[in-house]
Amino acid sequence: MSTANHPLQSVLRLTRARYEVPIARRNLLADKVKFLAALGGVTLAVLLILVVQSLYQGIKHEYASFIDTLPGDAFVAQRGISGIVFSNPFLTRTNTAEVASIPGVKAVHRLYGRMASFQVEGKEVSVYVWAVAPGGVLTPEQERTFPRRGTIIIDRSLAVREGLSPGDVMQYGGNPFVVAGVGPVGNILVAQFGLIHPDDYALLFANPSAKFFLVSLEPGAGADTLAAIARRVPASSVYSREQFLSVAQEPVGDFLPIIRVVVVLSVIVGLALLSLMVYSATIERAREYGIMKVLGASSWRLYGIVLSQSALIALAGFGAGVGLALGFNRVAGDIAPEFVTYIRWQDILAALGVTVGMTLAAAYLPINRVARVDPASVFRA
Amino acid sequence: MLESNAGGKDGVILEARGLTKVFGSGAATVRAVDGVDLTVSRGEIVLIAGPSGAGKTTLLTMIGAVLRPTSGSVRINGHDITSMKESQLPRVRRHWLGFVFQTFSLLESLSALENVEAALNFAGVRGRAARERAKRLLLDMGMGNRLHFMPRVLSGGERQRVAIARAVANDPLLVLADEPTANLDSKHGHDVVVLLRDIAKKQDRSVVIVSHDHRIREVADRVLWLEDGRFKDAGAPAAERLAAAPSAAPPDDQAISLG
Repeated sequence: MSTANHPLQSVLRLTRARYEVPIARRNLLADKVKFLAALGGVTLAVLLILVVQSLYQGIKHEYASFIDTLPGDAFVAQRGISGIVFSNPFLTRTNTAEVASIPGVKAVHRLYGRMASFQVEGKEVSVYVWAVAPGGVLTPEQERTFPRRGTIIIDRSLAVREGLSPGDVMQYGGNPFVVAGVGPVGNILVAQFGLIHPDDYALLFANPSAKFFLVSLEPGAGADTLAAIARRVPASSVYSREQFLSVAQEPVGDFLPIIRVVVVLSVIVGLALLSLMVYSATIERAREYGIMKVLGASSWRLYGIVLSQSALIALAGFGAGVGLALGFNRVAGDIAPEFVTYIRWQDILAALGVTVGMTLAAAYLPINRVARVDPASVFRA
Repeated sequence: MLESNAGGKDGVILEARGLTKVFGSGAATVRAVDGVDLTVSRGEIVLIAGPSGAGKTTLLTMIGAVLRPTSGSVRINGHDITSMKESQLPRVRRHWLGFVFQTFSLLESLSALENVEAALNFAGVRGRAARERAKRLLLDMGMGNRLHFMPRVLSGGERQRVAIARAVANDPLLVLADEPTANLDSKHGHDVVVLLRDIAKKQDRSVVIVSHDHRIREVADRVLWLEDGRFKDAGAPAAERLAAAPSAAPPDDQAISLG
């Protein structure tokens, strides 16, 4: 096969034919210390933005993963709650029977949960334990949340932090629980989740009330059924799966102001270093911009050089920042098991948007300076 | 769109009429150039000499479409550049004009080859075509073994050769040189004078040189004396005035045979 028309060769030919002296790159690399400082600034900004955002998304993702495993189409919760960890258990067995009797309700599963302090080889280990008491047949996936009696399934972050693995024993009030599994149960930074059998839960915590009802609906049941449930259970709200997820994730929003501060500070640091580099690189070479004007370079070409300088640093910093953030994402769980990170492509795109914004902002003043360079000044010795 | 570099009618490349530049206002008004007329033909070398502050460089920058005159007109290749929009002037400079500076004015972060290549890029010549032409020009200037050297490691004479190669890279009609030998020693100054002569006589380009250097009169077809912003015709011929003026060349510099 002839390689003469290979697409890559065509691209290379076109690139070679359009090649121009990379003035922007040469200018930047002429002062490597400043270049590296600016690159480091942008890298740090992108890294901080992505790490903080990935921690935030990580916790949200943990909630979503946990709720995904729960059975039910609608969720009955205490009215006005924010989050699922700190809401009160208020749903009695009477409420269960009442809700189950409403037309359109197929099954009512009870979700129990509370913080509990286990003993592991004499050491106290806090676990947020959950138990699902099914009101009907569960799917195989849902059965994952239903360990056998005397066992506990714990989140992998808890296992890493405490050095637990399947077969190990955790004690609660003198009752042994064998670790039956380690997996992505739930890790919301302030607490790591564990799952036990509902009968064990009832035994340990003296026939408690449920925190939530997970209601499976008959086909065709809708708003009327949900409204009837809300009427039947005092001081309750009924949520769809999506709404319940939002309610569960609400406390994570408390981190948003902190995240915003970190993001703003990161952008300020990155922008300051980038601007300083691009501005000083332009000011130091103001006369050369004058020379290029005399040689006939158009204003747009000169602005392009300044913008390219800014873009080269910013994009290199973006690449390095994304790379480091992905690396951090991989090792974060080993370094600090409580930190759960989750990088979404949307967040990388947002960081790219911030980088492009920094590129333009950093180039603005130098471009104005270049526009004011008088080419006649070149002739003044 | 600019016409090809074929030259104006009757071989006239540059025609300046009543060219005046006034700086400042009121009591601080300075008429740096005052009603200058100048015509330069194809292949002609014109030396503009005169004392410091006479307006030589101001005149050169107006001819070079770098500085707007207060009044008067400049026609290059038959086109009135003084009536052109600001946005049209870069095109005039990169296609019709070449510049040689007293301080060489190379781009310090680029190699010798890239300095010439960049000027070609500005005019739309890219890729291998630009690189080959830049290389050939530098070879012609005797810079074949210095192609990839950075300006800071080149001698003054070598830098000026690169600057001259850059000036002629886009095949200009008119080369404007501002004190091209002022920062060079005797030998390198001589080399530059020879190159400027060759540009005019072998490549058939017009060259306008502003200089104190009396060596350049050896190659000039005409020597004009600018004083107080005006060409002086009365009294001693311009060449004699130049010979009598203090030279910018080193004291040991002797008359140069340009054979």
